[in-house]
Amino acid sequence: MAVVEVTGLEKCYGGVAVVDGVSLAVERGEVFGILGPNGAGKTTTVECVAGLRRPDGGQVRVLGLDPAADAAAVRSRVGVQLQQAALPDRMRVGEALRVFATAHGRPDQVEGLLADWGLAEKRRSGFATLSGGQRQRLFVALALLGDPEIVVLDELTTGLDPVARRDTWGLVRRLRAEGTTVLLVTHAMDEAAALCDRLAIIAGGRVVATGTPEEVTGAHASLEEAYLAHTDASWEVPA
Amino acid sequence: MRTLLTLTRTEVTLLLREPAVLFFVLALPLLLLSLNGGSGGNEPQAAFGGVGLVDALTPGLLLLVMTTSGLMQLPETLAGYRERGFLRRLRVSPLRPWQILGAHAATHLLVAVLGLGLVLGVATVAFDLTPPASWPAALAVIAASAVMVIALGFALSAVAPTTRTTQAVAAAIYFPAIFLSGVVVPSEVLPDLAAQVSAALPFTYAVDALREAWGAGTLDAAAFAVLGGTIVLAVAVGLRLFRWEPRYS
Repeated sequence: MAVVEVTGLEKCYGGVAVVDGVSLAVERGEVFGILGPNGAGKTTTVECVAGLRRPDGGQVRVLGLDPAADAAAVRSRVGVQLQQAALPDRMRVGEALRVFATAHGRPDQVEGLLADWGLAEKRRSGFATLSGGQRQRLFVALALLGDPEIVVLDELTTGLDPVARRDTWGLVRRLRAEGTTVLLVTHAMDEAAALCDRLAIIAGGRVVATGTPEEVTGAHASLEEAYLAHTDASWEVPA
Repeated sequence: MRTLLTLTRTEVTLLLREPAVLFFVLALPLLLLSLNGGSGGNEPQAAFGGVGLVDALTPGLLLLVMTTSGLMQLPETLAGYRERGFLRRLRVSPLRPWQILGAHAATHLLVAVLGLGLVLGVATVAFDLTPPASWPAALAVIAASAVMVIALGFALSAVAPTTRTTQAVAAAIYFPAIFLSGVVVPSEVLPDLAAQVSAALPFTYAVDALREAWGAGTLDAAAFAVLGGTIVLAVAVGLRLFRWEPRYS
C-alpha cells in the first residue's frame, strides 16, 4: 500500500516551474530515495509532502490525507528532518526534545530518544555548541517523536564526516527494521545504493528514472553512471 | 494549553540566558526614573499641571517598558527564528500557530509585568509615587497598551522581510514613540511639528489615557478607540502577512 502518493505535482516560484509534473509512490515500510542535482526540485517535493508548501498543480496524498488541508493530522503522523532548520543557539538539547515532545503529547519519549541517539551526555548543551553530527542526530530524534509512520529526511548526511555518515546510515537501517517508512533526499549515490529499497531521480522538476537501485543502474556501470546519464551531465570536461 | 505553557517557559528561559536583553528593557526606565526622581523629587509643580515630576513621568515609563519589550524585542526574536529556520521546524511539529505566537506574546507580557512591577516599586518606595486615583482604570489602560504594543510587534515581524530590516523599522518606530508621545518628554513642551506627529501616534493616546486614569481616575473613550483600532489593524496585518519562511529576493 502506498503511504505517500504524489501525482503530477507542480510548483512554481516567481513564474518558474521548480517542480514540473513529479509523480511517485512510496510503499509502507520501504526506504525511498529522492536523488537529483541541486535545484532539481527534491526539497520542494518533500516540502509539499510535509505540508510546508501548497502545490500549484497535481495531487499529494500522505496516509490518504492532503497535507496542505489536513496539516494537523499529517504532522502528528509524519516526522520531518529539514534542510535549513536550526534551533535557537541557547536552546539546550534536552529542552528542545521536551518542548517538541510536549507538542506531540509524548513527554515520556524524551529519555529514550536521548539515549538512543547518543545525546544523553549532551542534554545540557546549547544548540550552538553541537557538532554537525550531533545536530543531525538531534533533528532525527525530533523527527521520531510521536512514533511517526513516515519519516522524511532531507540531506541527512550532507556535511558529515565519514564516520558520522556511516553511523547515520546505521540509524536509517534501524528505522527501516522497526517498520518506519523513510523518504530520504540525498545527493550521495553510495548512500542511495546502500540504503534505498527504491528511488527516483529528479532532474529539471521531473522524475527521469525510478525503480530499485539495480533497476535504475540497468546497463550502466554503477548507480552514479546511471545518474549522470539521466541528469544529462553537462559538466563533463570537453575531451 | 499545557503545550503553550511549556513553550512559554522555554522562551522565558532563553530570554533569561541573554541577560543583556532583559537589562535593556528594565535599565533605561529605571535610570530615567532615578535621575529624574533623584534630582526633581515628587513635589507638585505648576509646570506639570500641579503634579510632581515622578507622578508625571511614571505613566510614560510604564509605556517605555512595554514598548521596548513588545516592539523592539518580540519582532526581532521572531525574525531571527524565521531566518535560522526555527519557525519552519516548529511548523512541521504538531504545534499550532496560535501556540507558537502565543508563547511569544505571553513571554513579552511577562517581561512587561516584571518591568511594570519594578518601575512602580522603585517609584513608590524611593520617590513617593502617588498611587493611581483608580487602579481599575489605570490597569485597563495598561492592559490595552500592552496588547497594542505586542500586536504592533507582531505586525512588524510579519511585514519586515529580514532581521536587519526588522531592527531598523523597529528603531524607526520606537524612538519617535518614546520621544514624541510624551513617554520621556511631556508632549506639552514639544515644538509644533513634533506635536503634530505626536498627535498621530497611538502611543501618545496610551500615555495620555494612562495619565488621566492615574491622576483623575477616569477613562478616555477616544483613547480606547484609538488603542482598540490599532490592535485590530495590527492583528489583521499580522495574520494576513505573517510568514513562516524567510523571503529571499
